[in-house]
Amino acid sequence: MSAATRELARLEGRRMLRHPAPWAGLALTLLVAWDVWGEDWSGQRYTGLVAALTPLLLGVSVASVSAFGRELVPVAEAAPLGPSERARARLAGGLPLVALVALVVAAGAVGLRLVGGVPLGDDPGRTLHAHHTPPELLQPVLLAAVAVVVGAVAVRVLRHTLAAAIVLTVLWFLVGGTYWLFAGPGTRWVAVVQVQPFSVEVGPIRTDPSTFPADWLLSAPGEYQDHWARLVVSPLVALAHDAYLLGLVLLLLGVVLAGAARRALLPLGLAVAIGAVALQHVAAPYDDGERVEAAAPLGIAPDDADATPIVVDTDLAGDDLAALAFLLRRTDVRVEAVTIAGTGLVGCDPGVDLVADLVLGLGAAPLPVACGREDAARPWPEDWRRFAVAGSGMARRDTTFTPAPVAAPELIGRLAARHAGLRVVALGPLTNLGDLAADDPAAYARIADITSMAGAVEVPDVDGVAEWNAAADPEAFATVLAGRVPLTVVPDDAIPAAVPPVAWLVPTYSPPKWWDSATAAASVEPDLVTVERGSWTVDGSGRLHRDGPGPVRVATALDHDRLDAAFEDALG
Amino acid sequence: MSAVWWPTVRAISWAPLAGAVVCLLAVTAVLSPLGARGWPAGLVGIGAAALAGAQVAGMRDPAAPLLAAVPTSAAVRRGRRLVLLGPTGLAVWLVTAGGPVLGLLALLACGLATALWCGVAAGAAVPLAWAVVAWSAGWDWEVHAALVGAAAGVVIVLGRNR
Repeated sequence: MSAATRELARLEGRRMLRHPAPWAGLALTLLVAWDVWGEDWSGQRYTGLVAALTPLLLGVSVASVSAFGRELVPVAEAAPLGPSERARARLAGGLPLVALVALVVAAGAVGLRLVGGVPLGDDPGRTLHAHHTPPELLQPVLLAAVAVVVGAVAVRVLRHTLAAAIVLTVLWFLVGGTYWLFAGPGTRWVAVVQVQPFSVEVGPIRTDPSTFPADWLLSAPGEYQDHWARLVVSPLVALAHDAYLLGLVLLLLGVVLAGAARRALLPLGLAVAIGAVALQHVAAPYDDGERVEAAAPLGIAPDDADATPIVVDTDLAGDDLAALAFLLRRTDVRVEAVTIAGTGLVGCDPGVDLVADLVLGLGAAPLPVACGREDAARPWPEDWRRFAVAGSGMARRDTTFTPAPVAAPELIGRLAARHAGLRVVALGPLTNLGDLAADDPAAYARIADITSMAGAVEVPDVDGVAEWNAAADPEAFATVLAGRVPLTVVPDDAIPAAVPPVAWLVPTYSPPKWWDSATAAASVEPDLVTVERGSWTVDGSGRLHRDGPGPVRVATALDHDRLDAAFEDALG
Repeated sequence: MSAVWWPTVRAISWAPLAGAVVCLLAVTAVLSPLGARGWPAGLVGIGAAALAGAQVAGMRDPAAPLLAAVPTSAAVRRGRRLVLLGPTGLAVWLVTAGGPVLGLLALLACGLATALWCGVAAGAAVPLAWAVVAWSAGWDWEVHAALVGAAAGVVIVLGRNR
């Protein structure tokens, strides 16, 4: 580079540094970083800080457009520097802006060190002290170089500075502002902005996370993820991506410069970019031999010889699934069958599938499953039903699990005849028990006792409904309340509004209360229940009314600590 | 008819709008195979601003001082440009991002109002700057779009012959 070119480069560098766009971009970058810092979603700070540089990179590109826009003004042929030298000088003039970005990144890295890092991962695989690796920190600096050169290319192609600025705005916000669009397996290696960590699937949704190695950073299942994943930051992939950006810079320089430089840079840039993409692919964390098999399912311990036989009558919402898992894991009870309240949340066919998924997922032997009638007095909201069916988070299994050839009330009656002391834990509308009581009172009378989650005493109505299990079939509930089988009702009022230790079993489900899990625990741990005895009736909204003295036990409170202890004892 | 419109078509600087259109089509083409359902929310504002800025940039008329003496007013000449640029941009917007229209119109009105009083470059920059600031601050880019559009409309009417 001649002395004249160097002098022009210095002039261009000073002009670019004085351009307001990079400084406005820096201010906006700090604003985004401030906003990202307030996020407490796992990994948001780690990834968001990289994306926060988008306005700064756009500012660098706009300054470059401004510099190269001067090319559009004709210059005398007798000017001391030719077009090629002027282009080189302008490119060199962009280096102070690259240095500015490097300075910002270095300051950010030092700041992160001083505050001790950022959180990354979900419990139990979580750190509060994550730092970006050096190759990751190099990425924004190389992106700044890309920003300078791509500004030049935009002006060369469009021959219009405003048009170039507009196009670059869209492009930078596409690749930087929505970086996550390019984080998929097919696109992450060619993405301009690559944000780590990578997510590597390590286990199905029901895996006990404590079985993963303690040093793993984990990503828990959630709304957008139906499995446990390991978060992997790969410095090698980041380094290869840096090489990819270097290849892009060389490629774009080949477009801007002419003559021998173009002939050399175009193939070199292409080769470096392709090689770097290949290297990223080879170094990908899911290919490094560390992929682990899914952790073992929870497993089912053999029941005690004198285990109490029970039937779980359920409508398969998320808390029903947790309740069923809890009862299957208890060694002091033996689940003889699952009957599905067809008037309940999910209905019969999806209910059978959910039971199959849960039972097989736990590693338990298949159970008899039967279904009852499906004509609810009050249809459940369709979006609740859809979410309960599709959002269980369990893998759909190819199974020969088929329902029993008898209806649910009949199956309960037969089991009551076969097993003395059969108990029923009813976690949905009481249609099956009501039908059995009406059709075969003798069989119904053989049931030892019923624990039911249904009704509400004092909690206010929502959209005219006090409690849905009761409101879906109040007639059946009234029959059971008036029947001779000992009955414990756990109404909405008694359920504690807390997330129980079984919540990890159904991570996609986040209700305000875990009604059926609590009721299942209350059915096998009667000491944790405080009850009020009486004669009770139910109205069409599912509200319970005490009419006077009587044998029906209605829970007024559940001991929260003992409830959690029961869950932890069964599920760990 | 062609005596009025053809010179206007030739006088318009189409490069910004062409660039924005290519960008919007490219974004749509990129999003489709990635399985995205529509444009990401953060990108919609940027796309609308790019289109509005490009339409405003197309209003640049280097011959305006020369034409000041002709009987056709500046407002009419600008109106003709807008008749050509506006529907073109709107059609592209609906085909690519699929809306929202009100937000785009508000950005366009702001850009035009600024262009009348401060020059086309500033007018083109205003929608882009607003969208970028809104993205950075986490604001809704089309907040009070109807009110903003109406206010900008008043400013446009006041400065129609500037």
